Amino acid sequence: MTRNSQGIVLLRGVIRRLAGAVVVLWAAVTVTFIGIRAMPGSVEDVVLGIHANEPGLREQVRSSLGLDQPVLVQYFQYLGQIMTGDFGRSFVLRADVSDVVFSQLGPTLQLAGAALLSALLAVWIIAVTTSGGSPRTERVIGVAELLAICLPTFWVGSLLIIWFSFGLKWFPASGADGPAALVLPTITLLLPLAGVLSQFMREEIGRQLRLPYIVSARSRGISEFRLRNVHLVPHAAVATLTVAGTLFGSLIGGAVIVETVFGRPGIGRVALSAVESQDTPVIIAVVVLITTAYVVISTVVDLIALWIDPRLREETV
Amino acid sequence: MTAQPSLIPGGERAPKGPVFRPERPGLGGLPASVWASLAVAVVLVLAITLPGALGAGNPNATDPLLSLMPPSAQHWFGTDELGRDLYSRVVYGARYSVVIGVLAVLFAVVVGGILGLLAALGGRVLDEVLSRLFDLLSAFPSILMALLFATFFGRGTINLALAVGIAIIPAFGRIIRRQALAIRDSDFVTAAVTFGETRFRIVLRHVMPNVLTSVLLLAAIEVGAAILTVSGISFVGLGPERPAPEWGSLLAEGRTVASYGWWPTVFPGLAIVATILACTTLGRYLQRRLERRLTA
Amino acid sequence: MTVVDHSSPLLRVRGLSVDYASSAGPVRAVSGVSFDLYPGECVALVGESGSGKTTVGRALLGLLGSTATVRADHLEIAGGDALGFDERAWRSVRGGTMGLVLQDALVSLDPLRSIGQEVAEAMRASGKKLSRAERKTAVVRRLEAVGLPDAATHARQHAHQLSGGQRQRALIATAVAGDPRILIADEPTTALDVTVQRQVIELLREERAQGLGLVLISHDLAVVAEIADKVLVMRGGEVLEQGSPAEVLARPRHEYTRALISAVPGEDAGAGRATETSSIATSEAPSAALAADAALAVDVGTDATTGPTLTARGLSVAYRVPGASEPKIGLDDVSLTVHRGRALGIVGESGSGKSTLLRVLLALQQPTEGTVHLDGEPWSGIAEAKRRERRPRLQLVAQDPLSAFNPRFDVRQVLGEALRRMPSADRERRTAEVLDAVSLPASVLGRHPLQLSGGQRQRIAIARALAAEPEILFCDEAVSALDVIVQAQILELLARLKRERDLGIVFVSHDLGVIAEVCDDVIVLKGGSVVESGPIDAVYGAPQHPYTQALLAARPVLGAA
Repeated sequence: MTRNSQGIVLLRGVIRRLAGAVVVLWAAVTVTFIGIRAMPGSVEDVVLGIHANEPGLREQVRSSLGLDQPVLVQYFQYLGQIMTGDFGRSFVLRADVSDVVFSQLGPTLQLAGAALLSALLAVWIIAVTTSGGSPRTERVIGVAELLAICLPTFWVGSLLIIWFSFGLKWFPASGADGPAALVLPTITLLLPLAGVLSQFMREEIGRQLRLPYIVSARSRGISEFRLRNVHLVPHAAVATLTVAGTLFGSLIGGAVIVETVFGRPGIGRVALSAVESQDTPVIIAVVVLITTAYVVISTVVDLIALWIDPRLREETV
Repeated sequence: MTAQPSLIPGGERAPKGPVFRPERPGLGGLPASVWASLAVAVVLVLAITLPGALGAGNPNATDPLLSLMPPSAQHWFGTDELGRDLYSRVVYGARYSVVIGVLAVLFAVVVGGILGLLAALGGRVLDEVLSRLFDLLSAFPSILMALLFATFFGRGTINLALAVGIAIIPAFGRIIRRQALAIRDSDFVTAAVTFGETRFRIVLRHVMPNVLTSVLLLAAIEVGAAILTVSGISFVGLGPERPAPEWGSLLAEGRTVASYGWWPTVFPGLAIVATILACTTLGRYLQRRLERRLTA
Repeated sequence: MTVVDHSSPLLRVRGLSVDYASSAGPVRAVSGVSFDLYPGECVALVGESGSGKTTVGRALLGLLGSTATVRADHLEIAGGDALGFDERAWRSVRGGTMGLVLQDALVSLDPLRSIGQEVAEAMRASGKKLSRAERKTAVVRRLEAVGLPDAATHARQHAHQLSGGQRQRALIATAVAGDPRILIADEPTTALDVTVQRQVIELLREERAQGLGLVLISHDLAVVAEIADKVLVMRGGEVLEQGSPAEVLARPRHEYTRALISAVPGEDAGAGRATETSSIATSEAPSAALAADAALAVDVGTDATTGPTLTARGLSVAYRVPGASEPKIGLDDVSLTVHRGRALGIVGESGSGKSTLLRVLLALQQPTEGTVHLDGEPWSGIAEAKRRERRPRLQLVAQDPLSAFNPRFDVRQVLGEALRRMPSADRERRTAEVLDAVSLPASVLGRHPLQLSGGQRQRIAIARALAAEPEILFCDEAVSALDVIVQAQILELLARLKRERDLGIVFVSHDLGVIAEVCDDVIVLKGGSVVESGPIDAVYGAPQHPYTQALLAARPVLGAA
């Protein structure tokens, strides 16, 4: 196969993934729309709050929200608005939903990014230095991974606060001011991520180490360092990328919990308070935002896998 | 670390190579970790069925005079802000955390099983659609799912179990799809066809037993993960309504008083950790045993 | 023959032993192996699986891993004392002094890296200081040297994009890229089709002619006989005997070597027979020529005792490939007849359609065109329910018996699968009878197939097929995974069953020798079409089609050395 036709395959892959992404987004938006229609209690009750019984106000709210129109019309209006990035106004916060959500995006991205990068770094070091080591090392790391996965994030976070904030007073217990406030949340969030990632990496590297191409590579006289980084890590990366979706889920879910534990501002806090106050436009915006993020990330991840593994580029597959 | 063998010139001295040591078997051939996990499992079953037998009193009895007492002979785990006995609350909490976790997994096994079989045997289009659905569901944070459920349908035990269960569907759907495909194309099913077996009997005799084993083992592990998620969701305030002593809710209450005492945080957390470790250890142990039996 | 320089040995091995650590204490894998290797010489280690031959090769490269303990009275590599080597010294030996070629290039080259990158890595590791551009030219030149015509393109490709022969050449290029003086080739031709196998042997021969010392590790006596100057026959980690191929093959001193030689399939039929029976073959030539016409019905062996059992007419299979306009041809107008009491061989290289043909004959797959009849009644193109009752009459023995058994079943349950229609009172008797037929003791019944040897498992598979009381037994590469002595035993068993039970056999194999051993008639498949067919003696003795001639000529034969 020539380079050119590989490029075409790659392009075709991108287009197919993007088409899939649009379908997924549409499905998420539609499901939330149906959910809101199906939910007990009416939308206008939430908006009206204590003014629910004032005469005439109800009709006014209904027409201003477009609730007096046929359901299909409402659905397409709603679709159209979301496509232009307009999520309407928050019932409770009396502000544009887009502004509310995007202003809280920063701290969450900071936290998730810091945790993901440090987890990747930690896992890379562990995998490169310990894989194929003595059975004892393997077992110690295995237990550490198990603990990292099984320890509840919210518990670890609380314990860290008790020891390092209230006890040693090293780091602040809450807030998002400065890098010091990021340390404990990042540690809390990276543990389960690193545990899962490390399990996958080490298992895959262990599997690859038994394959003949490793013997071939060693027979060329290359160093163990080169062997691991040039030959093994790309294979393990491809295998790990396939679970990136699951990791994304636990990353976001974990971020919501960590934000609660440490009282950090962020998407999680916004979403939780929106549930408390039945503020549906905000909830929808969060759901659409997270689905979009997942779709974008999984597309990028698929393309990275295509880029690393030439076998995936074959047209016949 | 290095792959270099030790070289000993000549002679027939004893080899100095590292000694391969298999997992040390304990009592009855089972490792100690498995015995510990079994003990935890027994305690959990007791806590769910006969909490009184474990010495737990009324989990909701308040006593303002005993607010935030440290652990003592009367109150093994201390008391909370309202003076409730934390030990009783942790024991009764199993009724929420563990039961919801198990329900979630049961739901996921049934739905995931059906979808997985459909994906494997229902043609290419269905397979593609369901596989994408699995991708999406596994990526969608279960906390958000719980959030949507709480918004649309309100809170409650069943809703929480469903929300958590949905996120686990892909795990079962995928394993069942993969196994059903592998078995369908396997030589031993081909052999059964050449003996003139009917499709139904092949599924019953060859496909089901082989799929079920791995599904049950996965379920054991997933119960642990589900309990973790359930208590996490309760922790952020989307769990069963107060004053239900769900472990995550206990931890959330503990967090607000964390600067006054460590015990409301430490003991419910230990209960969660012990439960999850027990489920995971048992599941993995059985998985390893199965693998060894099928390959050794 | 190349001139061997006997002045100084490349390898001097004396009393080499290897122990592996295990839970039950050290296990000896290799014991007291001694030999010398001189420039331009080829030393071959021959043995079945578990003989320790691969362990010797890895020990010479210091690649055995930390669970192994290597001892020797003397181990000299290119003048250096390897017993004193640390990891650093080993690394400088690997690649630069000694190269390694493994069996299957698809998995022996890093699938994520291009051929060029792999060759370049070998050059860099062996300490060659080259600039980027120089290395690029050097890589292309190296690939050209191993006979890859379009080297510049191949350098950018990955192993999976090359054909089997091309990637084996590429693998050899990586092994010799550091200009080593010794090449260790571990089963370098085993996974290849015979014609490609021949080319790779030639390539190794050329490399040796340039002064390379070659350590050839193989299970295949015939390959070894073609190229080796010295043969070491190994079993259970020990060298049973060594000498020149002529000595060892013509006058084997050890019982085991004799068994090994006589077990080589097809030696009395193949090329040996070709010369002896050429007169007979020519007299039969008209019939063979007639049958060679693929479009014609290939009713071979019409003189069989019983009438035809399974007849196939004009079988074609085409697959639709997503994205491609033309359907892929699996089978093209294949006709054949299977008789009771006769064995029909279907031979072809990978991709020839032989497995597809087998599946269609067994009605596991429907043909796009053409029909199959069983005793005159339709077998293909009908509902499965109408076939089910008659299914036991055709039975399959697969290449890997383990995958053909439900992993949850013990031997009794495995056999029971074929006996389900039988009244339970008769089952015990029938089980005992089929076990007896395949010469296995009743004690295997309670065991799991995993606890049995490869040969025993294949016997169980045959016993299970027999339990269904078939008229025709289909064997799909049924002995390909077995060691040569066990292979010979299974082939003997099949021949006996054919005789005693008047069984028809369809034997699918890539191995011309195995086919010759067991079959009466043969069909040669290429690209889904029959290129030649007829009685085995006629086809092997006087092949008409160029492809058959090439296949037979490429086949390594013991007597050729």
